[in-house]
Amino acid sequence: MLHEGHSENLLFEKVYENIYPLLFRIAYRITGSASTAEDLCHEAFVKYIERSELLPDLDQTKYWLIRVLRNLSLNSEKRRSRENRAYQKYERYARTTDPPADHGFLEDETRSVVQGALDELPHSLRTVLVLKEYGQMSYREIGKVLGISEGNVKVRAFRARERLAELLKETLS
Amino acid sequence: MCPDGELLSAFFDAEIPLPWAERVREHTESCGRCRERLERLRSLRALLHGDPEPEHQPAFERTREALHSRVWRSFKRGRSFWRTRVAVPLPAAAAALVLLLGLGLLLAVATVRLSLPWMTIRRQPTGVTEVQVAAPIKDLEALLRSLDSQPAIQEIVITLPEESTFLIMGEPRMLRAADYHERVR
Repeated sequence: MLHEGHSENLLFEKVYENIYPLLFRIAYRITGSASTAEDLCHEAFVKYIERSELLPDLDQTKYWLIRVLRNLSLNSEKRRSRENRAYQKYERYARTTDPPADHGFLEDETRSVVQGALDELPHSLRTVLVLKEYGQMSYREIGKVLGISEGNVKVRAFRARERLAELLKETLS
Repeated sequence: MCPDGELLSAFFDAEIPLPWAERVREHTESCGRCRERLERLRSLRALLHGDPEPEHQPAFERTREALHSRVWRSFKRGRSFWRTRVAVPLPAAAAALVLLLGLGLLLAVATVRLSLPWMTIRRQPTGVTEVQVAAPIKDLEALLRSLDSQPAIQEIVITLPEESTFLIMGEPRMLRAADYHERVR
């Protein structure tokens, strides 16, 4: 018989190995940054470890972690937006006296045209499209994870594609 | 009639139930404009999936390393019993509630009964019935009057609590009770 701690560690390893790659991919596509994706995945798994009760199976664990990740990414985006506004304000002020400021500190990596277009989408549309395209999830599953109806998922997926096609029209043609 | 954008997008995601999906498929095969719209959705999907992504393996290893000590600490500490959620079916929860209320009611009744007079009735071999009553007496005179009105009573014995302390106020009542006792005999 396995020691309780040992069996729990095996369970954690199973969850981690099965879900991390997907979670990282979704996090990267939602945030547009590999380092932010890594931070958010780390934070999501910390919450999973600290969770007092076990989840019934791997699928439920996956949905739970994606839900946590979505909330974390939303908070992170709000925080980044506030910081960007503060930097822009500072830049306008500094421009009157200093040479043009290099705001490379805001971008931690070079993003592709496609990822740049995804980043332009509102968080609510981007999340649905990312879960559909990169998470391979059905409308029902997405609705369950995000706490919205299947009809709402359908509308959001359509609108996200419409906007994305518009943003990428030069690349698409 | 061409399907609207939402319907076509859902059809593209294979999220339309069968009879309707078949109709949309038949339509898109015969309608050039809808074929073009579908092709556009396919191109968009190809663009999304063809976009390079950062390798997850280094982040995977770093995060696992960082989480390792936390995982063991958590398992060593164990999952707290009081923080464990227990799923109870609604009928079972309702039954438990009813049982608790019933027990509470019984307890309340028992408490009230304890404060009520205690009485035993015993039939002696001589044919005399002995009634013993222990009751709080607030109005001794009323009790005596009540006993006086019972013609079947042959003998009355009033036993005072051993630990009682009395204050002498006016005429001693127990002397009168003794007189009464004599009178009844």
